[in-house]
Amino acid sequence: MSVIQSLAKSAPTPPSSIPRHSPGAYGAAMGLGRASVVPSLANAAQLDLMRGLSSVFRPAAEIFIASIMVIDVFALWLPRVLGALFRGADKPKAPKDASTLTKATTYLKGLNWNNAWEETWREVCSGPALFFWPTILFSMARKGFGGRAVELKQPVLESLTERYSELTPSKGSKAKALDAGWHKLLPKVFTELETAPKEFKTFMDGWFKKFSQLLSEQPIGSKNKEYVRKLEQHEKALMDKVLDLNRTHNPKKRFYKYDHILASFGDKPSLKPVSEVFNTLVNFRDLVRTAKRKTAHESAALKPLLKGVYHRILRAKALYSVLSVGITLAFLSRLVFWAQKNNNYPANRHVPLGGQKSASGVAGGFKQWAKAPLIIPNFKEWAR
Amino acid sequence: MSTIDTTAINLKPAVSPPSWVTRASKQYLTFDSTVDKYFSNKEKSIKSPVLKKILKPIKSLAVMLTSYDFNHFINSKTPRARIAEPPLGALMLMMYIGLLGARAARGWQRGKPPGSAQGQKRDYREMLDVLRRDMWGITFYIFGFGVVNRLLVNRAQKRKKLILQNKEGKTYTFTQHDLNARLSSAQVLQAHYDKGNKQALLKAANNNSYMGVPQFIARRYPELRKQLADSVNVFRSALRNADFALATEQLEKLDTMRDSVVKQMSKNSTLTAKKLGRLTKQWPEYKDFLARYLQHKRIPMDVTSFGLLFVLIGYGPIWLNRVLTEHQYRKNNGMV
Repeated sequence: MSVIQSLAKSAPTPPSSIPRHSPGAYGAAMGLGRASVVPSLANAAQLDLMRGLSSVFRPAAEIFIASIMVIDVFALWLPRVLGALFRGADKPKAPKDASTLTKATTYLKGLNWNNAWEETWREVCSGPALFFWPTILFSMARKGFGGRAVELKQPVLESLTERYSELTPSKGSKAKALDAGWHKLLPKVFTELETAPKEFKTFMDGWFKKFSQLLSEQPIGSKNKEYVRKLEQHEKALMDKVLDLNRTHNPKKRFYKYDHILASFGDKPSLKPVSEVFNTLVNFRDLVRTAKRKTAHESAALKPLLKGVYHRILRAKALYSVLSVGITLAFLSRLVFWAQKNNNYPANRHVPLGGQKSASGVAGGFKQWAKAPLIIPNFKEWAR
Repeated sequence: MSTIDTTAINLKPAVSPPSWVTRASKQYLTFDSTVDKYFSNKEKSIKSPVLKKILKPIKSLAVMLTSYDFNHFINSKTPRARIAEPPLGALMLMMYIGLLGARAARGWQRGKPPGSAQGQKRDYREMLDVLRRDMWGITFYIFGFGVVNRLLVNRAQKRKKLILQNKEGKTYTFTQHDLNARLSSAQVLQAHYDKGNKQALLKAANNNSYMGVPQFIARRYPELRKQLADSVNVFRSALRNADFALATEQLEKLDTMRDSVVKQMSKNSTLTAKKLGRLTKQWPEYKDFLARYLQHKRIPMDVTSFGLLFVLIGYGPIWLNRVLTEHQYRKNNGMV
């Protein structure tokens, strides 16, 4: 029998008559005196509530897509679909001249399913489309020329290529020169190494070796599970070391920036999050590997070759960015026509125009809009 | 007779100039920085401080509108994909044209009177519904939501005397609290104490929910409960006296006790991994007590700003459209 099991057996049961909401009384009953450290039931419930809320708000506040989807579902889909379902469900008071109501509208009653379907299709498909098409297109881009280098920000791509080009030796075997350039680039990116303690430098030497080895293991753009896991582990190792370094050596200077490291992508060194530096290097490595593959077919010198690779990646990146916006726009424009097939607006089924007296044309429409009074609505009537 | 300056000759190896497609690609991807440079130059030439203040939001809006470089990708586990996050300029283009524009155009099209009925006017109500609902909704979502959240958090951090935002007014994420408010050393504890989290530290340390012994532990392990309570009380008094070395020592001690119990519990065959996971969630490491406290302090602001968003872009415009349509109906039928 383990110590814990034996302890559990001897555990006292709290008296049921004690008011559990009072921490002092509860603690006293548990043998801790007035200065109890056991939270009351009310406190524990509050903590559980906060824990539950943070499991919702953590992804909603941190992940852009999660946040946009939460807003899309709760602030757009639900209110719009429900609003559409109930719009025109209750007939407004009959006008003085009942003949203004058409036969069709007179017979319609109940929930406005027609309108709700229109809104459902349109809203459900339009929010995710904003990410769907760019995701599809960039997954195609990653499989093409340059691999994940297309994900890099243009200024970073340019400055890193320039710096890499400067560091790559122009003599000897091209493939070896490209590798040598990569090994020289890594410590240049981590400018932190110039001032960091020796222990950190030793760690980074080993880290660089393993990193380069890891990135050469798989083909460009690989999604191999094991490889991805190894990359994540390697990133975590760096993150832990940086956290340790900052917490020990720069607790005040880098307050709330403990996961940042002094780095330079060919620009002025600045504090950057470790994850950003890591991902940038992983993505840039695909440019190096693409250039290495090209050396087998092309006789050009290394510098023009690297420039050529960079230009081609730039063109691919721009093309896929334009296509992402264009295809999404085309899809969204067509979606409205697919979802709203009815030739009239079903939301106004009980409220036909009647004796409408407005000017024609776009200007007339805006006049009508401008004339629409800002009234304080009759809540009782609306609720009914 | 002028002499030729030989030092000005470019001796770099010949690299073919980029084609017009490459130049255009670069211009497209860096349109935002071009706009930024243009406004920065304008800012320098303007002397009036009022005009400078006016120019600042225009500049940031213009930079936002012209960012088209896709460079944010998120790894999603289910479904396994690398999701592209559109830059703000591209997102605004897609939302204003693809959502608002297309819907308003359809509303305009559907407003046409049936057949070739003479004398009947075009019905603008759907188009106007769309404009009122989506123009406001998209604009508030893109520009207003962040501002509201920032103001709320800023107010709370001043009132409660704790740090929830950085100097630029950006609210710290939950992960940032996890990484930066973990009190792993005396230096970190002192940094929080000195940099503005003193009140938060003292309040969290005196709150049994964050720095205490969970009920299930207190009930099951009376011996351990007493040891933990002693350490907690020593920690509290050390923190009050700003003895950071002693306070950190107590935190280490508390976590060692916690870890040994969790380790022994994991050996217990009757305890499933799921139950153990839940248990460790209920009894997290003591070093993280400040991080959890700060995370929980931002939640009311998150709830409020999301609530506001639901009302302002969700239910509000729908309610307004309904009220306006019904008022128009009554007016046109001589009922008002």
